[in-house]
Amino acid sequence: MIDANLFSLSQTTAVQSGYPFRGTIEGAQDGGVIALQMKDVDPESGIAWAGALRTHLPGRKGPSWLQPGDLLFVAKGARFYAVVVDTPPMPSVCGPAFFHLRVQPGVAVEPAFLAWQINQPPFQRLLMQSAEGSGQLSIRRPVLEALPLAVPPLSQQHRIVALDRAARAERATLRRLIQNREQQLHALAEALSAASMRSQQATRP
Amino acid sequence: MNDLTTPQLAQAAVSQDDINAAVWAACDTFRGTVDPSIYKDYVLTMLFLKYVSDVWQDHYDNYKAQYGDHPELIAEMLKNERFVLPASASFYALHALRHTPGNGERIDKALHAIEDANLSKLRDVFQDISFNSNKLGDEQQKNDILRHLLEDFAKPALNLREGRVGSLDVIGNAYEFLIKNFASTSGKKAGEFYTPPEVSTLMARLMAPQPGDEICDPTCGSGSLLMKCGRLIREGAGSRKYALYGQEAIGSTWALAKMNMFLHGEDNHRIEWGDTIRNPKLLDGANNLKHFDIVVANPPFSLEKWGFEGADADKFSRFRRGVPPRTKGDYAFILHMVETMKPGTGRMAVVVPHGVLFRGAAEGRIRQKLIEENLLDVVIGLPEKLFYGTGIPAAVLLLRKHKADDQVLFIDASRDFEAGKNQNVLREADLQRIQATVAARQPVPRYAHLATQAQIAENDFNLNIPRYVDTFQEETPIDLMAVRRERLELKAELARLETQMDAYLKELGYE
Repeated sequence: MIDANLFSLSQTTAVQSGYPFRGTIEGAQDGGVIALQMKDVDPESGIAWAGALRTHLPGRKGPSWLQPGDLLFVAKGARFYAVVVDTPPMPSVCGPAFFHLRVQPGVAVEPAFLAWQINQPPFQRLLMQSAEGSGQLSIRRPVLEALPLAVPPLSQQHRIVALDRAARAERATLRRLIQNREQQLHALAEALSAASMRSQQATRP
Repeated sequence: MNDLTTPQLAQAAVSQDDINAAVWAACDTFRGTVDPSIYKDYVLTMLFLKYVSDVWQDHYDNYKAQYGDHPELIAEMLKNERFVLPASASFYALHALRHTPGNGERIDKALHAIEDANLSKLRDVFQDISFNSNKLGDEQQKNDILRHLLEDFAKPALNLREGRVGSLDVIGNAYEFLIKNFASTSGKKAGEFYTPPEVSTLMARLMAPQPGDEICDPTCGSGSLLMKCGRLIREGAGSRKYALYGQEAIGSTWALAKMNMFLHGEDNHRIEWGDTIRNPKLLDGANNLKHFDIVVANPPFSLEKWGFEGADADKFSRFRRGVPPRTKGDYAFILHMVETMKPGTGRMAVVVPHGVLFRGAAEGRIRQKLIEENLLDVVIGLPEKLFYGTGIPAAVLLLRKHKADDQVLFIDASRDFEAGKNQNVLREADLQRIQATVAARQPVPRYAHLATQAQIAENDFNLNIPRYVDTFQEETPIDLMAVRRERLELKAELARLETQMDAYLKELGYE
């Protein structure tokens, strides 16, 4: 069994709102800032920086820039989940659909572990219980901050993260195995119909 | 100095967008109270009334400046105007009395006075529209709504005087803008079967209208398609030598078409009111169907009650190739159009649902005859979600009385479009590609195919486009050995991951 201590999320992590873009984000080819939107984030593959929108930031207020090791929490829509920010290619912010999470300095929590725990069924159940909204569900910041985390020692966190990473690799490999089998069957079908066409042409007078 | 000139400039340079926004804002008065399918007639009629009043006032002021204040003299001169406006029927007279109850009745009287003063042009145009109707609510609400409407149209942005607006097209475009927006916001209900502008542009261009052509749309709706054809001649040859003919079954839409024509300066038109199948109105001197150089239409898709009962005994024998099925009117309109093409130059373009290409029974037999008579020229498959109120993809058929060869060109244009949220649109490049392909009449891989009569016969006269245009992407042949090698590698990888995960689980205390 793993020993773990119970903390509320805000005890370990600072939670900030996403950058308050108003309405549609205006793209700009020469923009010096990346604005991450929902479409750029996926629970399985993380952040797709390549397709993200470049823009100029309107406001005067200094935004909270994304740093490696930060977390994005998707707080609106069909599914709530977190992804870890890897290395942003240029100054980046996230849109208002996200919360921007950062593990507080000196706290023994590995970001990837935090993301993993948020995405697991026990925490997801808590999120679904706290979600509010009539059109689409969303999580308010105080609600997220109050949710409990079970935090084991760092060494154990690392193992869990490694296990999770290996499990992702396993999923990807299994998918490729399925594709591989489909290719075999396609090749079989193509060969079959090509052969029958040839024989039909041969029998024609 | 600049301070003096700037406001004048701003007043002179009136943009299409400003006018469009102003007329669209005028609809706000009705929103929430009256359905768009009803209030569109009121707004469009009011726009026409405002236009006639403003032009009249403009000319009145000019004469006054020229000849001084002699009301009788000016009145005499104004009798030669395009539209004669009785003083009490002017928009401004109605606007001045807007706070006095009875707005609806006053507007109706004004419209009838205008109709009577311009009978040759406007006969019956206002008969279907009553501003004094209970559709607008009880007496008080009606007065209120109409007062707002009069005030909206009195705004400076909707000053439609020639001196300010310049070309007539601006007003016509605003009119079409409204019609299009009514079509897109309320679908079939208000727009009936409004043809998207790119589709009518495409059809007009493919018909290549020439000076001297007689052009007809037997289901003309608000008349946009006809006007596109006319505009092409004016732009191309600078000639106004053409005639537009149309017929529309719905009275209020027919009235809109008439007003639309006048607002675009197309005074040389003949638009009749009536059902094209049961009661064709465009006849020649001998009471036969009139023939045209160009026949274009976007008939209602698969109309259920199209007039099957009378089709057998049709006195113009339009259905001698076969009577279309009782509940699908597509071929009734196509056959009507075929019968109204001129023998030599006659050509037609018609928008149809895909069923027309492949349905069997009576429709199959009619299709076979049209092909055997070598009338069918081109079949163009359009993308889905182009039309308002329906997502289905449509096709455009081109038919020609005198074809250069006996083949049929198939074009699959269904994958070239700009995707929109609810509506897709054809881009200029997409239109050009279709035009160029029709002009070249050569096969294009995965896009166009030139089919012989024999090939179509081999397909049982089924015109389903995928039968002719093969859009299937040829797959690169699969190397079975490589696939097998990859399989082994993947399995080894899986085994490695399994061991790794077992180790982690053991460290976490699970064995």
